[in-house]
Amino acid sequence: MSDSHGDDVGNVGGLNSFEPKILGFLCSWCSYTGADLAGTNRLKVPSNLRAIRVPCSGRVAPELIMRAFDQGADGVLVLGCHLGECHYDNGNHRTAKRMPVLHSLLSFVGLEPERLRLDWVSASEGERFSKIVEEFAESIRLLGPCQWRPKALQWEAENRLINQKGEMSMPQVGR
Amino acid sequence: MNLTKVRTGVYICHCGTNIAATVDVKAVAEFAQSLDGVVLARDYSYMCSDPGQDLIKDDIQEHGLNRIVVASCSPLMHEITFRRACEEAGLNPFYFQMANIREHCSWVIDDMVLATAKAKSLVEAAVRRVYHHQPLDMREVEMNPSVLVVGAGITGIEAALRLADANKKVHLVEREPSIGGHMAQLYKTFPTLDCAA
Amino acid sequence: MASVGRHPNINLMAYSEVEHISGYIGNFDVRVHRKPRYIDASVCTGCSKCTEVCPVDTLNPFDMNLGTRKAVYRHSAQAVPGSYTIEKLGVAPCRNACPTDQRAQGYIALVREKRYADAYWAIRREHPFPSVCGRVCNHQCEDACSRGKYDEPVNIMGIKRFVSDWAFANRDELPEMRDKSLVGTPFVHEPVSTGKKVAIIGAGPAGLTAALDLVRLGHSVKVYDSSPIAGGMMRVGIPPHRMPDELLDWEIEQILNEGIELQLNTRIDDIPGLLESGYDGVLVATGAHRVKKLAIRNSNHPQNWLSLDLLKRIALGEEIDLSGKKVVVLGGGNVALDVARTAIRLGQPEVSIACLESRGEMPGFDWEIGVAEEEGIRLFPGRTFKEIVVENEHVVGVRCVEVEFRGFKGGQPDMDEIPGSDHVLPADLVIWAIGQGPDFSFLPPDGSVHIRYPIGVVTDDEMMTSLPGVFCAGDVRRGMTFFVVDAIGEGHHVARCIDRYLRGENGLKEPYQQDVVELSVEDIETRITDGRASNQPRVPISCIPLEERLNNFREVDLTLTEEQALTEAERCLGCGLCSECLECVAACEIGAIHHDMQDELVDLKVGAIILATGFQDFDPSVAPEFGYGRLNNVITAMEFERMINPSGPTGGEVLLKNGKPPKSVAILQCIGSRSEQYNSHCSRVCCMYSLKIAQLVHDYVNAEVHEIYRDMRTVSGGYEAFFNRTKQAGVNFYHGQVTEVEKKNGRLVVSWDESYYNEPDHVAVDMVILATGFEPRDDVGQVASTFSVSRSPNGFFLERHPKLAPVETATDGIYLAGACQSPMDIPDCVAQAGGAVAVALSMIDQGTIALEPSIAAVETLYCAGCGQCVAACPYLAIEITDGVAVVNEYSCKGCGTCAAVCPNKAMKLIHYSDQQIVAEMIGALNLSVTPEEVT
Repeated sequence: MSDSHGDDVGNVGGLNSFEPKILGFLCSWCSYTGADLAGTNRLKVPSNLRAIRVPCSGRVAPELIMRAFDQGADGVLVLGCHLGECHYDNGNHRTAKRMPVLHSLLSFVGLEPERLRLDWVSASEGERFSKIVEEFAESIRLLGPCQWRPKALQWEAENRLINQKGEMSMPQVGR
Repeated sequence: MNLTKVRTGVYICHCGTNIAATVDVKAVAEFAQSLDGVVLARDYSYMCSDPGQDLIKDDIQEHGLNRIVVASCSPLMHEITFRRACEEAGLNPFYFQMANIREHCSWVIDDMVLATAKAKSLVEAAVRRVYHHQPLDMREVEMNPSVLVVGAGITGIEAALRLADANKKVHLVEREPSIGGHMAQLYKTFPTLDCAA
Repeated sequence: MASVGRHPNINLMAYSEVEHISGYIGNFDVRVHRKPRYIDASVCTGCSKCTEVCPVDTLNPFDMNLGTRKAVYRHSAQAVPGSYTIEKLGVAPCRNACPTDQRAQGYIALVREKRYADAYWAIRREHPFPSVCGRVCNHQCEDACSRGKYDEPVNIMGIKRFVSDWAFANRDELPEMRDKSLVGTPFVHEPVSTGKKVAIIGAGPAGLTAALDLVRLGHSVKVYDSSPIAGGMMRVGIPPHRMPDELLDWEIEQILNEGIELQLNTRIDDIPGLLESGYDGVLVATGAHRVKKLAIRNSNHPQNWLSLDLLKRIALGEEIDLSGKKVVVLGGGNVALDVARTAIRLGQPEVSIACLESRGEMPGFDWEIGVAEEEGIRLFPGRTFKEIVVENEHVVGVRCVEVEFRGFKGGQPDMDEIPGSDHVLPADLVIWAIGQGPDFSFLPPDGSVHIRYPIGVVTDDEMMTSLPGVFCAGDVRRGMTFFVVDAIGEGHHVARCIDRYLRGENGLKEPYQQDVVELSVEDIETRITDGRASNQPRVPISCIPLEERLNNFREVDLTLTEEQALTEAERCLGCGLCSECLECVAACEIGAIHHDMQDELVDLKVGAIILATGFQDFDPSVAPEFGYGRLNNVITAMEFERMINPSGPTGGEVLLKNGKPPKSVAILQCIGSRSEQYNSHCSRVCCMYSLKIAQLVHDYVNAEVHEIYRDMRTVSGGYEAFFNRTKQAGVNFYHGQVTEVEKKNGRLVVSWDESYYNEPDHVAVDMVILATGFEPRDDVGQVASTFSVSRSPNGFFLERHPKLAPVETATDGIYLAGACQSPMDIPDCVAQAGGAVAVALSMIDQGTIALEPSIAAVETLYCAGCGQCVAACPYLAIEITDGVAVVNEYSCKGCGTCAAVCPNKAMKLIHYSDQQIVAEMIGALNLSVTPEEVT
């Protein structure tokens, strides 16, 4: 990455830089179980990950992902069943189809698309789970903190979309 | 939305040393106590044990708790157990949320500071989530008493016969033109060296 | 096993597969695909008569391919159900290509067994004129023959001719098996009369085929023909040097003997009158006998003959002498060739053929053009005819211009004349053979039978003309000459149409079209290497020498000798496996066999599902170091099991390839198991079954036994004692990991690493038995996805929890038992089956089941009825009713995909609402640790 001349790139990715916050959406049937297996097998998983259990990766709406960046996530990891193994037939196909749009949306709003990753972990792939989280955490570490959050928080405070508890009120559109 | 005031109880499980060796459970409980809506927070050696469950039940009665968070193992393991405990104490079982601080935390993180920090945020996540829980009822449906057995090797045959003997209708589906599977090909089978068919 | 078949509570669905599952615990909808056995299992008594007559041998997978079985087979001696099954891969391409639906693979299979009479009657089932199609067919079967992808197609036509010539030669002794030719057809001899009368105009292949079918359905049939002889174009259009009369006459006689009235020399030109005189139906099958000429100068001069006139005169026995003449035949098709070759036999005149097409484009068969040239006929291709030159009232030539011909466009030739190429071909007789069309002059003059002039009679989908009750088939319908085989095909078809017209609902249905087998080149090579087809080249048809053909009509092409026919039949790949010779149908006395049986889908409703789909053995041919497939006498444990089984392929004898029993045997453990290269898991059962095999070899084969093991795992009750008994019996045990098996000095030398101090590291033996491990079945992924079951890293099905829920899966109501979950031995399989049953019963016996409440719900106020959720739902659980989405709470499984796509956030997933997830997210992201805090 950096050579002896590159002072300005400094210690990006170095040990003493920052530890990213990573929000994970894990489907209950495959990935969450795979994550449990990583624990049962006492594998190492970076503490950066905070996992939220959802029934299916298909449940992970684009707003939820954007909201995670809003709330200070430096990276978002969506994990589902392998294609063809979805507990709900094809929910994960939907997730996969959404990704390109989300990636371009991220770059549109000034975020590195690499901060969002979709991958597949089956119930028996504890090792794969640990490896994916490790890799992802390292890649976010190299990207540095997500720069969008401060601006977003400021905007939201101004527009009173978030209350003091940190809950958001959702603008609803009637029929 | 919540007409009655939210009164949450938080329980941090040691799981013997499975959690307590890596996560500072006392610190997590202390932290939980500080969270919005939390009335009490305790740590205990084995939450899934009878005394552990009784603790929850008693607190619900005694302290008027209307939300329960247990931070212990994976919900895939004990969510049902704790939901049932809530129900037995008269609380709707869906006013319960679990934080997985064992499989997702103490077992995969070596560093105590990091593990404790992660446990705290998982507990906070659960506390915030349970605030929004609604009372729900399970949906009761009729159970069709017949069974499909797929594969008619030794295992499928055994299963089909036992179910049939229990007076259940069994549909036994076999890909080959005959039942028997690999076993039908064998001469004398281990360990009794008698005929396979 | 037998009690399964008898138990009143068990619905056994063998030869079936689960295709689809939907629903949820307590209420699964299951779709089962029942594969056709082609034998009604509820009727079959297992008497084995079908197998005894089946001509098709195939490897028997039940015997690990060490022995063979027939295409109709019983799975195993103790099979339940005991019914036989026919293994049919589909319709062979030859049958599919033939317009008459001729099952060529069937009669070829019978020829292979020298059952020529059976083969003849098998041919006659679909084809009333085998002697004709054995000679003059365009054999679309051979064009479709799979063997053509490998070397050359089987000489199917040659084999057919051999059979029909054999039958003719042996006609007096030919077993009276006419009934056999009706097997599998809707026809009967001397049927009950339907009281319906049909008149058929034209005794050609289409008319006679239809007549035969109709009379055997019980209709009364009368055939009229304007000619003095029956057979139509087969008789008057094919010259005798290609088709001897007596064979065709014999075939026609057999047809007429079924009770058909034939009236020759009768031209019918009052079709409405026929209907009025009491016929319920009329079939017009008059063929295409009107020969075309070009409207050029002098083409009506009497020395312009017509192709069919010449052929007809010869057929009727007229003696014609053309010696010394210059004959020019105009036309490049098969008829032109027939005419030219006929003319040259009438006194050796100078015969030439002139045609529009270039040499390579001539529509006549290539081989016959070659033969014509051999016989002395000159070719003048690539020219158009301008005038028949007449001098002194005699034809002296044909004036031609050379052309560049590019084919026909809209019925007209697309060509350019080459300037200055005008020339005259000398001729004193011109014979026109540029094509034929139907003669419509006999049709009602009022136009009530529509024709598409000059093409043919117009018919509807049921082959009926515009005049009700009048049908049409063959060349007169299609408007030009097709092949005999096409006419026969139309004859069968029109007979079905007429039967439906006469009998309504009870009439014959169109046959069910089964899938056609497609063999790849690899499939073909396999069939040749495993001996199902020979590697011989195609046997060509031989001819009588040129000098023997002069001035006579001796048949030029010779029939195959018996030896040649057998050689050729051996080349047949047997594409469909079952040859469809229908010998089994003839043999089955209780009518249990139905070759037109179809796949069936059965819907079941069940409350619980137990998966017990088992395992497959590791295939050691992927591990060349162990010598399997590379060295003789290296066998798998299962092959040993079949050999030592008294009902197996060797009758219970364990033998080397040379037929002798082995004196020493090595058993190699952990084949394909506990290996980085193959399967990493321990297959758990191999140690114990190896010990069993060691005992069997020791006790029954009386051979010296060496067992090479890596670890001896004897984990259950009594297993260690079994090991000790085996050791005491004198079996040699060596520790080691086998590195290779090689052949040295005629023996198999097994070498291994990691031998214990002072123990050997190799042994030489006669036979090696590989204790192959268990692995998931090849289609485990597909089955897992059908049932929504997860898989372990080794590929087996995954239980919900290894300790607490060992027989349950992640899906409620679907349970696992046996070796589909991991390798296990018989006692464990039985125990686990009991476990799965107990769990299933504990659910079922509750009577009702509580389902999670987390399903989708609509906030109607916000729903715009856009239908995005409907499209997203994998379960069709959402409908738009009155402009808003409505969720069916029983179909919804709670995946939440709908909630993710709803643009208005009107759809939510209960217990996983946006609010709940966001609240959880905020908590989860709230705390962080600075690097300084890390200890």
